Amino acid sequence: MNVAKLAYKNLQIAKPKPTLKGGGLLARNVSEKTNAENLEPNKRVAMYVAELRKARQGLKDV
Amino acid sequence: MSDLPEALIDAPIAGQSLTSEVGGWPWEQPPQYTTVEETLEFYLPRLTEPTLQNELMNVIEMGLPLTTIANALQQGAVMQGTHSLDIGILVMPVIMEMLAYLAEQRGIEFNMGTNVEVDDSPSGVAVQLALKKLKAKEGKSEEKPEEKPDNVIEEPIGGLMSRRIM
Repeated sequence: MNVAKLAYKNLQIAKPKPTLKGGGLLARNVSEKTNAENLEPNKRVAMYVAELRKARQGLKDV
Repeated sequence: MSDLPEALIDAPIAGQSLTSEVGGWPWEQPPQYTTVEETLEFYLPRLTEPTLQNELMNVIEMGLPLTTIANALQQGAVMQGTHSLDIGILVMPVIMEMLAYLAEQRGIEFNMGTNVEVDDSPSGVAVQLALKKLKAKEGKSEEKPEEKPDNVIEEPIGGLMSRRIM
């Protein structure tokens, strides 16, 4: 049994929600960033993995 | 005894862990880091350290799966009492992703280790067990008396001096 494989596969990475707000000049600039400290450890880990994956994707695109 | 797998023979004796003093090992002490963030702050600078990074990249280039490397790293840290096992399992995906990022940065092909094909072939022990059962079954079938066909009339077997059967 590969523990690392299970841990990696069982990560529940949340997909970014499409923003419904308009991007007009008078639109409120409310940040939708979630407070990482209030999340469960596994969700925080999923968040970090998603960030790293995004950065890795950025490397591929260059 | 010869049929027992070697791993079973090498296993520790029941209660062996109770023979040493409690708290004598680093992993029996409270861990140094207790949160995911603290643990990642311990790992990430080490992974990006040039000396270790070169070694890691060589190993990755050789084709060792990232799952195996991450597992080895976290198990080593657990044994040193750096963090607990559950924190180690939690941070493993981040370590793997970081290793993948570093490999990608250097243009090294890597094996994530998450798409390992399941080996359906039976283990040596299972084969031995099946053979043993087959032999036992064959042995039983040999012991059974042969069935006689109905049409054959039995001829009396006897010598010259045997009694006549009426």
